[in-house]
Amino acid sequence: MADFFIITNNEMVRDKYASQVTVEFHPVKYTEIMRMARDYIHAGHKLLTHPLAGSIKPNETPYKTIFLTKSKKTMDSESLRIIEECIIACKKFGKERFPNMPENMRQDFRTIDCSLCDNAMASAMQ
Amino acid sequence: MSKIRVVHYINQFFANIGGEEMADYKPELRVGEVVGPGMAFKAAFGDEAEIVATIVCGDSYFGENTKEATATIMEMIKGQKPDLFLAGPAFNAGRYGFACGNITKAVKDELGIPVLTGMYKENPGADYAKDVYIVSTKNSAAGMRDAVKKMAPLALKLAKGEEILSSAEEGYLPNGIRKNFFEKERGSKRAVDMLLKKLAGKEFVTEFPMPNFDRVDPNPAVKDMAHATIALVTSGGIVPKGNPDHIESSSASHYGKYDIEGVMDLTADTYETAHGGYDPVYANEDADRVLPVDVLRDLEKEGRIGKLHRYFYSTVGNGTAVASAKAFAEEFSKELKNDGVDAVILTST
Amino acid sequence: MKLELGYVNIHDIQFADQSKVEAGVLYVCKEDIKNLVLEDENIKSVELEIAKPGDSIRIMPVKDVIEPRCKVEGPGDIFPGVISKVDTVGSGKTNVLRGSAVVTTGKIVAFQEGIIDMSGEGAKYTPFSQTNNLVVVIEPVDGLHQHEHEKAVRFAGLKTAKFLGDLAKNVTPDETEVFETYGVKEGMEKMPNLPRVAYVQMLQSQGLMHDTYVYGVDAKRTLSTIMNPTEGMDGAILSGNCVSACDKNTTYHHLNNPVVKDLFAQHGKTLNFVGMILTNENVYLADKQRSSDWTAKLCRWLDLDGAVVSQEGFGNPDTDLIMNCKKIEEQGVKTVIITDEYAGQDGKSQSLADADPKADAVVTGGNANMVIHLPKMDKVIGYPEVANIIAGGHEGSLNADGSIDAELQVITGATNELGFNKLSAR
Repeated sequence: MADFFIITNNEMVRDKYASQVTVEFHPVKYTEIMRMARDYIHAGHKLLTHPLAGSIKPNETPYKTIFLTKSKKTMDSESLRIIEECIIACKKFGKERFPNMPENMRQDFRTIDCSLCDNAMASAMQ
Repeated sequence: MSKIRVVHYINQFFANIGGEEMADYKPELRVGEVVGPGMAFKAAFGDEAEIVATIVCGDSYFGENTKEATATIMEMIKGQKPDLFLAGPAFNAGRYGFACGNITKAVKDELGIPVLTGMYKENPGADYAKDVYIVSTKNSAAGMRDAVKKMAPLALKLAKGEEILSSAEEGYLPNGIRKNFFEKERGSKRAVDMLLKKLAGKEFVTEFPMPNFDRVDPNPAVKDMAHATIALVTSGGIVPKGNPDHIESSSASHYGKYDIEGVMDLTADTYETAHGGYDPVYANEDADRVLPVDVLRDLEKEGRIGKLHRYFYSTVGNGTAVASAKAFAEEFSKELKNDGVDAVILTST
Repeated sequence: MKLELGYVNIHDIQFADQSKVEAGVLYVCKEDIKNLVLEDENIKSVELEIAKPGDSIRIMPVKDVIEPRCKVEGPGDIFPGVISKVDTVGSGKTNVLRGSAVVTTGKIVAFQEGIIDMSGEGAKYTPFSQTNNLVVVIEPVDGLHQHEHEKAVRFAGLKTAKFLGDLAKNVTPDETEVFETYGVKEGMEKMPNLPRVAYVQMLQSQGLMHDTYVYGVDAKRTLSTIMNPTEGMDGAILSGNCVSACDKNTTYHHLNNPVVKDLFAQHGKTLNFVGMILTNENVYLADKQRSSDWTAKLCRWLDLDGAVVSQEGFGNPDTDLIMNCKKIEEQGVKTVIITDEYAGQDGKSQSLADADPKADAVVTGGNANMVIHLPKMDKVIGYPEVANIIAGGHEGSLNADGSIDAELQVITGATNELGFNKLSAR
């Protein structure tokens, strides 16, 4: 069994991968997924994907998916550094641009996030 | 339109009073006088602005009596009702640079009028670049003409409330606020030119200085915690109720040292936070949340640490200058060492 | 490898009964292009528009911009591995329809970006306000999935550009320019005293609407590799990147890579332009590590003295950029990196999502968060309603008078990280 799990707020990622790997689905905001990933890193899990994967700005897409190792070791300072930088980067973009996002746009963002996730899966399953 | 009223600040040296031996010279207001470098500014301002007064102060006097000197100078400036306050340029003179940076910031903050100074980029006073516009000058007074040429137009723009362009265009030291502008060459050409300079070992200027890294390698682990004296230090602003040392809620200028002999627990009645940068409710309810005296007392009882040091040190990290924070730490680290402290737990917020 | 570019200057573009290039005018027969594009059964309809410098025209959302070129002599053909066979390109002669471009627009996802204004304030920030553009507006068949839709739009643009490029096959260029690089030993013998410099180009490679293709290969499944800079001039690198309009590289940028041009300008004079290293920007951290390790290894192996490293896109590529810079510097090779910034609307935030003291020589394409007011244009080509859901904009970006308030990041190519523009920041 692969040594990783996924945290996501994207139901498309959950539906696609939950049968193959551990997917923790939380219906929370993008920044909250970041915060949860940080907490996992504090607890000794290592970051496997870049938290700012994709060029879509943090205040534009509502969806975020992050891969972490299942196993825990002493805290990985590089993972912590990266997630902290990303949380700072998120903050500077300010409030959500499209609070009343139509469903078709949500669906597109889910699709793009899922596509980024597909690529991470390809690498993670190697 | 009436002329822009300018008050100009210079040190004893540029006022032709004397060098180091006269550095204790107290602040002096010369109404209607244009002194030293002021002459060059006067010429550059033409009809647009006039220097209505010059303030002269010794560098040592300012450095050693900063609070008093600032208060005195502030009163002098107020009386002249200036539209603009100009200091220096200080070139590479360290204490002069500090005075120029400090007094311009104070005037800007208190009087709300535009201010401008100038100095060499490595002058310690250049730390104020994030607070006030500091024109980048050469490292000696031989660069006076060049400095005035850059400072005078920028001073007029500031006084008139005109838009200030990027540091590269106006000639001030980068202040951390990124501004777009069009360069003469495209980016790729600038990159190739920069690489050629770097390869040739020549000086080059990066367009984006990396954030300041002051990474400190951790000390080796304390081997015998059971006999170690542990001190608590915080930038979370925990102070005895009432904030006896008046530590500022932001941009702290000092720190406090507090005796916790016999204190087993920080309570809402005895301690609070002075910090203005986070929601203080939870820290005020129970200051142990920021400065864990209670837990350390437990560890002390359990014999897991030798003892908790009698004093804790506290300041407010909120917007406090890195230079100030360093200076605080240099001071109290010595005390901690002399007191035989083995390790420090540093808490932030 | 030696390539001669023949510049056929195009100063006007017009619709006509017959497609041809004559006396600096690009004549386009709409039917030719429509027939070509509609060969793809995933495309329902196609509209063609012309946008020239100075026109009161806004094009949005822009997917890609492509310069028409054709192979006149030498092996292979333009856009190898995608439109043409996979033969190695970059030698012989190539004609360039300089001053013209094909711009594709399509509504692949509801969320959109990429504005080209042909006049006004916005025109200052995009290089494509200066080209004579044929805009291809593509409507897919109903229910087409985003992946296929993106591909259909991408191919439609490339096929159109190839068709227009081929019109100049027998036209005598107004000007020619020769670019030549040498093998390692040959180069050292020819330029024994010049520093050896390469160009490290990072390619966006993350997924749907974030991809780049090299000879048709999806860059995310590649290891860092070496390429002759002239290969790019024949379309070896193609953009499938539709996200982050301001700092994505369009195919036009790849064809006219300014770092390649400016290194060639110094080649044999102040430096020896050894070649190009291509590397990717993947989402997986171990991939980032592997790619940057390989890049540094190739730099060492080429015995470089210096390298220019360019980035593409926002956020996580900052980490690739810093990894590349750091590792290349650790090999004793001096670097200059090109990036852009997201310093917040007030310019006060930390610009990059990663940093290292070794990155001491940085060129910036400007702050993409800067707010800009784009005046109303008489005509909008594409899908004007998307202004309200455009990257860098916000709900209410589109004002009642047709003007737009948004961040610079909406504009195609505004803060390009190849250093294509003069825009910078301090």
